[in-house]
Amino acid sequence: MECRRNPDRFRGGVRVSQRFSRAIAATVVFLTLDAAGDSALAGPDGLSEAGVYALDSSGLIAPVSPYPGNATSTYSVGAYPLAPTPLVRGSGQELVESYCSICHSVTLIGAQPRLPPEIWKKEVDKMIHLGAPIPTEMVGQIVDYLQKHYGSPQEGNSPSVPAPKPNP
Amino acid sequence: MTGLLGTALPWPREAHAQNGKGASDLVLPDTHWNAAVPTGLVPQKLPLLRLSDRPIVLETPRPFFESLLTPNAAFFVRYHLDVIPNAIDLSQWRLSVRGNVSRPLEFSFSQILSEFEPLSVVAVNQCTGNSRSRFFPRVPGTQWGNGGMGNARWTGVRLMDLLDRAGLHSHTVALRFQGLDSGRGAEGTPSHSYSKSLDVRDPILQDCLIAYQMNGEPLPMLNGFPVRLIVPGRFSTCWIKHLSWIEALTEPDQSHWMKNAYRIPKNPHRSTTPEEVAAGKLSTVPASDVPMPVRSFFVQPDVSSKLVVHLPIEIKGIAFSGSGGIRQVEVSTDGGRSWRVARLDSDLGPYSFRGWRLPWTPQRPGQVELRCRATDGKGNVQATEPIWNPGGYAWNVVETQTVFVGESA
Repeated sequence: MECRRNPDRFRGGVRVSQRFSRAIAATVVFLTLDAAGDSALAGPDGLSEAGVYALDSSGLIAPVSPYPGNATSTYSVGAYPLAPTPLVRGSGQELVESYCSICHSVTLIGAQPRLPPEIWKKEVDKMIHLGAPIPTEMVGQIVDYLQKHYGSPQEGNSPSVPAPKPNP
Repeated sequence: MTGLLGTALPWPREAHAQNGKGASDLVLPDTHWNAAVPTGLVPQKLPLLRLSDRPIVLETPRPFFESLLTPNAAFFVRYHLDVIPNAIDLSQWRLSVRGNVSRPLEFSFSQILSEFEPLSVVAVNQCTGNSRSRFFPRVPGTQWGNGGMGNARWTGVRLMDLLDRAGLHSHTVALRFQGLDSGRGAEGTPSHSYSKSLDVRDPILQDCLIAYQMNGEPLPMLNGFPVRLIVPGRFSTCWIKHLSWIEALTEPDQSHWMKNAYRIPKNPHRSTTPEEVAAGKLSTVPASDVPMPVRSFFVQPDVSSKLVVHLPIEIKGIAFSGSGGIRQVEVSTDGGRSWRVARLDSDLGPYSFRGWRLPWTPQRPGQVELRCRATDGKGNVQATEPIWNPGGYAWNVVETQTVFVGESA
């Protein structure tokens, strides 16, 4: 099924990553990520607005956009709060921020368990299969960064050693 | 026990007798699920456990499962792609039925409300990867505790009533469902759109609803406003939110989301090993094609407080299955050596959470391992040994709740 929105979505994503890389955690910055969503007018399918996030500088709980008090046929909820967890500093970090955050927040990287190196390689390959436009010559740097900062040695993740899960 | 898992057992008691003393040497994963993740607040929701801010993934904190129907404002949220609707104009929105049909149709919201018989079903919506954080070796993906699930009364119209109007052609093989959410990947890539298909011969189609109400209210935006596909007893991977396109296919759906993602081992335990996967020997099926396996959970006690020796409490929990509801829930207060049958609460239907409870008075101070295990309407019993598969899907291992009992004098 084709989807008829966001002809410009790729560029929109890069713009987001640039904003992230110099994110100023002071005020709520509104980012209209949806490059086609500069108008509140509905498309032919009724979708008026999508993919709108606002930086949630506290990283925790912030007020969300108020419920719009009107009686039109448009049902809206305002912007979704963004609170990306910063990545570990290191070589390759900017590439990861630029390419990975086209489609998803880098929060998802830090939210993974310490994965063995080959699993991080597989994850990056999977993302490329899903459509991540990572140039071939940059794949190595991205994989290296993830393995170095978010990886674990293989022997630490073997089924013969049960994971000690901390008790509450 | 392993050999008995997933097999149809007319009377679970007999199965347990084969377990000798009933004691297990297994070190079960700690299943404490008062997750230590920051909460986030998004429109129409209470603070929920924020697993991802973009796309939005929110887990329901454990105390909300005290209610058999999960409140809409606490219901979990999981998107694959981040271009999530913020506003929808119902004067423009249409649900389209097209593809291999006699009459391609577009239904407005008011037509769906007025031209079809409404009906309701109480059904659990559970992410295929719920409890993924329990898998060992760890697997990538959303690291859910147990809160990637919720139970609601869904009201809407029968999917088949809409399809009958459109007239499915006889050589249709599958129905593909897609919603208004999309992604920023290039068109034609899986990161641009998420859709799922069900086999046209799948009997579950007769029970599918196109829901416009959740617990008697409009669907929250993040749970699929204006309508969502309800596939009772199945994982939420196929419960398409913001459902806007239904397409009758003449060829099987070969998309990434059907052929690569959300595939689970074909065997009844849904379990394999990294070695078997590496050898390329694993046979899989789409997770959306099979009923959710039987599960049960402790809601109370949750170790938010220490128990007092000789002070009676009620152990309370929930259970569900995609196969014929819940027949029995057993609870052990001695780490699995002996089991007692819990009392089941009222029945909201075969696809709903079933509440259960058991009075218990701790007799000695110290650390106690509580366990619960459910048997479903088809006689399936929860797995005792950990399962593993590379996607981290379909976890249904017996839960263990460690509690601490303190002195009273």
